[in-house]
Amino acid sequence: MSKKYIVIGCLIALLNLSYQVTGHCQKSRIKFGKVELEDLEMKVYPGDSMAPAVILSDIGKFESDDITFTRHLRIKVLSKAGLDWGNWTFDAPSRSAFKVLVFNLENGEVVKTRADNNTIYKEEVVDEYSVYKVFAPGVKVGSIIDIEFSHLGVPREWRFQDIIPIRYNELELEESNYIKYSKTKFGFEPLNQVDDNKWVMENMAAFENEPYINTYKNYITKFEFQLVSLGKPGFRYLEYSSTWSNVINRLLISPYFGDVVNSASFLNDYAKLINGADLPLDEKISRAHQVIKDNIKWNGNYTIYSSSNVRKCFTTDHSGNVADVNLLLVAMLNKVGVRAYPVVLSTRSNGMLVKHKAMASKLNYVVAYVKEGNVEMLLDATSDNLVPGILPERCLNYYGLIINEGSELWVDLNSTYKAKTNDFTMITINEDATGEANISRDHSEYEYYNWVQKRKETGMDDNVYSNELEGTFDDLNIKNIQIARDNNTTLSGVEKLNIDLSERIIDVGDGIIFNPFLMQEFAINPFNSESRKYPVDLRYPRDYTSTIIVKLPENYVPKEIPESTKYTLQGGSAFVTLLTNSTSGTIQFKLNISIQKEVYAENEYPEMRQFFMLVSKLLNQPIELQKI
Amino acid sequence: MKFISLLTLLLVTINITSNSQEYARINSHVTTYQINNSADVEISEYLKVTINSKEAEYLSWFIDYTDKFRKIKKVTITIIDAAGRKIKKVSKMEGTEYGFSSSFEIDDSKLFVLKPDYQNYPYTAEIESEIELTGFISLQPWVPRSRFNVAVDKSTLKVIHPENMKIKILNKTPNDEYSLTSLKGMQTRWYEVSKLDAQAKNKRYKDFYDEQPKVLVSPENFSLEGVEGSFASWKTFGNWFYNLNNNPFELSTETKVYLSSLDRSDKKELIKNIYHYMQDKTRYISIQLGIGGFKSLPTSEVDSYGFGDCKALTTYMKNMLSYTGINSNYILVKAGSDTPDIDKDFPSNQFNHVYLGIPLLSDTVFLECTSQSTPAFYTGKFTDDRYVLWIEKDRSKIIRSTIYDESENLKVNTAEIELNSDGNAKMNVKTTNEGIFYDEIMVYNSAQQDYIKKVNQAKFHHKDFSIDGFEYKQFTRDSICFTSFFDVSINGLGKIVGDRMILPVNMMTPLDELIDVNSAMKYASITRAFTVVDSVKIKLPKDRWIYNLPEAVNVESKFGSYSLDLSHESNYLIINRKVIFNKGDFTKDQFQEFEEYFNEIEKVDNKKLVVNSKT
Repeated sequence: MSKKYIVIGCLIALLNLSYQVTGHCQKSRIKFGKVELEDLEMKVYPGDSMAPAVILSDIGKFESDDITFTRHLRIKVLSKAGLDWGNWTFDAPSRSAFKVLVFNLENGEVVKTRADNNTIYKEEVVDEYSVYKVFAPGVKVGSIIDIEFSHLGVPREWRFQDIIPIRYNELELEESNYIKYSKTKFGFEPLNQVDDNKWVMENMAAFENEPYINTYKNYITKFEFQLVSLGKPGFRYLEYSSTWSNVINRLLISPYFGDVVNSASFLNDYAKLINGADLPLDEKISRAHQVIKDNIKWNGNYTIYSSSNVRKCFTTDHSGNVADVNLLLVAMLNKVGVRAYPVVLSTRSNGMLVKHKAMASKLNYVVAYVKEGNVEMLLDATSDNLVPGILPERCLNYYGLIINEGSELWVDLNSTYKAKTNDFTMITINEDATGEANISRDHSEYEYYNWVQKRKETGMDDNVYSNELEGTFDDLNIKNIQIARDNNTTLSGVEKLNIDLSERIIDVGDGIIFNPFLMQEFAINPFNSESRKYPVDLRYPRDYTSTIIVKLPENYVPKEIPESTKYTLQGGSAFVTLLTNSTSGTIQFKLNISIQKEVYAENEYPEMRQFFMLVSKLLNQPIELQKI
Repeated sequence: MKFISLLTLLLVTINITSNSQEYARINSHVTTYQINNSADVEISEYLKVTINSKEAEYLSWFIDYTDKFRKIKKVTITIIDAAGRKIKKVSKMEGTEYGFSSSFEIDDSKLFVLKPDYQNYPYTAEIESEIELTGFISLQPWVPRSRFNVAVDKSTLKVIHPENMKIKILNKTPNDEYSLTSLKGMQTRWYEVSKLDAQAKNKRYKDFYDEQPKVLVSPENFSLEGVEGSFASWKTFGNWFYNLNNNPFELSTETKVYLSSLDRSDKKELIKNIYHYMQDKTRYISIQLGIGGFKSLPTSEVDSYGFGDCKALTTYMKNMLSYTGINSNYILVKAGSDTPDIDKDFPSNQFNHVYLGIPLLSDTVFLECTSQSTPAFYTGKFTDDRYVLWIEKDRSKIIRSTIYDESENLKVNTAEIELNSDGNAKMNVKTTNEGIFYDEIMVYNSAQQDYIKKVNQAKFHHKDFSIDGFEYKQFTRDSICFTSFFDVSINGLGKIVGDRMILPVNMMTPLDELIDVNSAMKYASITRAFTVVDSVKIKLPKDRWIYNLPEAVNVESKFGSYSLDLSHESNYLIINRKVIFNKGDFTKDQFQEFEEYFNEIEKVDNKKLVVNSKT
């Protein structure tokens, strides 16, 4: 969270307007340079005794006369962990754009210290572009810091919530004829609008991240601003994409977007080859996808605009950004007679899009969308491992906008693919309370990617990988591991494990106790917290099946077999079934855990947590064998 | 060279991923250190490398930093495809310079990045570069093979310097200095290694790096911002640092008044009081201006603005002590919680941090001045148990920093568990952290609530549990000890099987979480000796009883000791466990022996208890 990096990189700062930044007069009762004694004396913030610091007030105002946004922020430091709030970075054109004042109570007297040349540093970021670093002087536990800064235009966002509590937050936006912008609200806290252009929020709790959250950016309560137009019609006037149709039209005519899709004549030879053979549709798609994957690798850059020379990227460098790779994929598909369109989106870590508000600046990724006959699919060629129809995890972020003339259509990015694991386990238990197991595990679709990733992290060394597995699943003693399949076209990987069970078997004299569920992905309940504020994001649906056959030692029978069980989440969005059976000399289990949604709303959380608790209990349940 | 602070401990080390194949082959690599004089060095490099896959793409990039004393004069990267055709050439003009530091940092150095952006594997990259230093105190070690999965055909180092200039060289290659030539008053020394295979990532990077051939180069005399220094011995280097920072100082009237008001009868108390004054008044800011910023900011600035970097804060502390008549000494250190030791036989600048040592009549005490909350005289994992340079006029020397042993590094878990007949349990744990375990408080003191929750969650190892309450307390400011309290609900602590219940013997931290051990990479690393004592008191359900308690286990070895003892006390089950690990880093044969011991005690630790029905 960029808590101390204030971006005054306002939307129009680069346009060099000849407007003067004039003196600013705050109309609120809170004035820069004047603090309340009781605030200076405050030791603990009553609303949050753990808070290292509190934002006493945060007041922002956009004034139409001088098209300037001014923010006055007042912070109280409550513990040594809060001292960081004395360090600020301003992206401002000059020192006059900001001022910082520190208040301390010393022997009952208020002492003010202003940040001056000795505590303000200019630091060059790239050529000719610098930021100001301010280390507010004399900041200690108990200090209050007043910060005021102003810039032309509107900021990118206004936060009503932060990682520390906020006591008072006020935003006022005057209407301006010169600059038009739209705003989009994010977060779950209801806003208190006091008049047409003014919002006041009081006693906002600190924003706290939760596990299994997509990105905090989606849930922290804030406005995001998007520029609509600048200047007056007839004079210097610039219009920005105020609607999604506008965004579509602009992209269609852009030399770095629409033109790339429409030209790319260097792909013609490849297209001819594919067109020459009389191929079924899916084969055409697959070949086109392969041509792109073979010829241009992703260089890791995120953007929706192609490089200036796409031909060179493809034919010479074999390297390009996301748009280079996937716009060429669209072009290639079209050339082989498959109707395809680019889809623009925002990746998971970049935050979600909102359909009802155009947010062109939030788009950072392009994929291809095929709609031909009864085939409809999304494609991405940024990695060797991707096949037509599957998007990498980073793209699974609700919906993307199809760039097609004359229509504003959205496509669901959430995949029909799941993370699947299918286990087959043979367990042999011996009379002397030893035993072994042979497990064949098939990881497919998204679970295949996870599996490949884990192996990559262990240097593709089977020993190191197997050791990691032992660490993940406790009491697992892997004697041997074999990678039986690693197929990136079917997205399936199979590993075979041979496991020594001796340490897992308890000899109780007249019987033997052991737990037949060896692979423990679901044996641990990941949801420790009782309540939940934000949705649980599991990225993709999950499907786990496991067949276990236990061979019993001679003259042993199970004392009690766990009952067959089925538990379904309300609405059927997740279920677990366990079927058990016993024939002479063996016990069989068939387990299926299916989690069919990728996102569960916060109000579904208690039931979902219950579900995981139940699964955990089921998989941690040992059975007992008895001698006849 | 950067000076760092205690905060750095919170950063995570970067994982280097790669696989067992040959990702790249360095065909030829020639590095030349041309040392003209102590303020004029040219480093030129020629690298020809064949890149086989995306994992080694980074080898086709040129990434380096520049500052006032370090200029990149020239870089070109030429790409040659598999057929031997020259595809493209990029040069310095196309590179980008970034200067971006965090909010508590001011830094005038910049990162320079030049990438050819070519990805048709396999291909060859030829990188030629020239760097000019106009002041330096160290040259980076020459390590021909510094990454996994990279093979080297031939790598050469040339060190050129005036005949009359003394250069210190430590050759850690299996080969002797290859040749020595002299021309026009300049001497050239050659070092070379060849035919190094690609190594699979099946060992620790540390073990890999230690085994690598390398050459360390340092000038004997150097000049920094006009101040001449010498690496002839630790004493001479110490003198240079001493002189650089031995300046008259100004303390504010306020500070002087405060210092004068202090009772001077008990020296340690006096030092503590001054230390607290400094801690409450200042905060750490990293200031990286000039060449590593060896010289401290004036004390007067720290005094009036309330912040400084490690040198400034240490100097401020030193000057305040001096004002009250207490002499103290700078100590230069290579700081970090898991940092390889310096080469003590090669006087050169290998340090990145400074702290303070105060010789008293009976002992010497140490102060870490970049933390606002560290107890006085505690330096912790950041600087412990390593060679450091004690700075004293004409008497600077290498000493070993404070070692915290297994009697000091103590974690005591006292747990009370109420076990229900359905196997669920409520547990109250009180954990006391002493010695280096004290460092765990840093997260509690400075991280955000969500991160603290995550850290606490990882302290327990049950399948289904929740932490319902957490609190931590440090009872006195200067005790190297804090206590945390947890209320935990555990589902299925006891597993019901028919009329029996199965309980784990160890309900606290598993052994493999206590130390860094990896049987696949064949190493165990116990950086600091420590003791963990658990006493767990379990109230069994009324209708349950354990009839056969396992016998007490007591294992002693040169690696440490382990004891487990179970007993009954009215309707309670008492489990006492004590684990001591001695310090040691075990690889190869030593690891085998260690593993035997570890498996033996782990087997005991993994045991299960059978709780019977009383009926």
